[in-house]
Amino acid sequence: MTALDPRSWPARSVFFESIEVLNANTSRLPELGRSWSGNILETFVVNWNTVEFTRFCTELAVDVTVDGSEGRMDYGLVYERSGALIRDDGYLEIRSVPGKPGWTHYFVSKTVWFASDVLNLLTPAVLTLRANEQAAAFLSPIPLM
Amino acid sequence: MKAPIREWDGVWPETVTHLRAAVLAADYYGRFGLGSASPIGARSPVHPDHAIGIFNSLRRSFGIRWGSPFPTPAQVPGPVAYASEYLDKVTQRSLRKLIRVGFRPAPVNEPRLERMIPRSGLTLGTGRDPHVSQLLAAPARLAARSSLPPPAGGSREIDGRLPNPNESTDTTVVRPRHSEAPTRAPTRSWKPTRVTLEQRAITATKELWVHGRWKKS
Repeated sequence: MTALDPRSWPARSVFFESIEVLNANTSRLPELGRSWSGNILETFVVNWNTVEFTRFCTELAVDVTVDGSEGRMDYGLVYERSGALIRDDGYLEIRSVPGKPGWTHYFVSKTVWFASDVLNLLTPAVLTLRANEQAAAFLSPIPLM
Repeated sequence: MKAPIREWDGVWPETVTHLRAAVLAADYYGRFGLGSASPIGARSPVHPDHAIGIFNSLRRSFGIRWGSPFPTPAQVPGPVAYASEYLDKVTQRSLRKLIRVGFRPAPVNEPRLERMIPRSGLTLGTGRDPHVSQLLAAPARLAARSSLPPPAGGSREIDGRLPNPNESTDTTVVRPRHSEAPTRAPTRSWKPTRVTLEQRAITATKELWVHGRWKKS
């Protein structure tokens, strides 16, 4: 379930430069893989090529809910510092598969809209890459749960 | 699918498909080291310059994972080398087609495109087609090469799918068409990434299953 927690994302994906917890619903943040909600500042970097990249500094409201055999993380855009993002929300779900011992089901959904038409043009390909990236993160050598 | 420049209309859908297939194939192979077909879910055109940028990003991710942005068969497992070679071929052929119909990198992009290509003497991918590698490495010469002959063997064998899944050395993977978890053999499985375009919303969804130990927290 640690994969649900945005605090683990920089270690799992090359796209995430950093994740900073701005505030949380608890006085003390729980360990990875536990339920919590709050706001985070995400620094997300897309490398278009070896010399050009785009950096998004995005404040997101997140809600991580973990319940034994399943978990879900919802997130939504609060604002992006440069105003590049108009919409950014989605969720991740992880659950054990009933009747299929040992199998874990992952579902990732992300919706975005950028202020830039060029980014909106490129986004389908990049989103595909990012979805694969997230899938790769889930399958990384880091312990799955 | 309408090309951004009218003269590209004839080749645009195929080019986009090929480039995307190449990118995704490389992504799948590079990141997972397995798979047999390119999951082409998106429908939006990608400009070749940008595709090359994404292509180079993938090379970079190859570098992070395998220690070299241009992995050779000796450096990486078989499927990755295979994907690298495939990516090279597809990208080169797509560029050839664009060049034949008059594609030129925009002047503002030429220096950038040049910078994209390492000057270390390495050619793209396996470098099996030095002619096109030279084209990529020297965009200023693209115009002089606009009457390139078609590649040997024609280009119809590329249909957006990896040609022979049997060449993959990983036999532990299946790509189910159903929405239930597989019941045997594979240790991981997924549906192709689905990207949908709506008004002011681009949504990507990904669904996968992993077989492994469920550690109680």
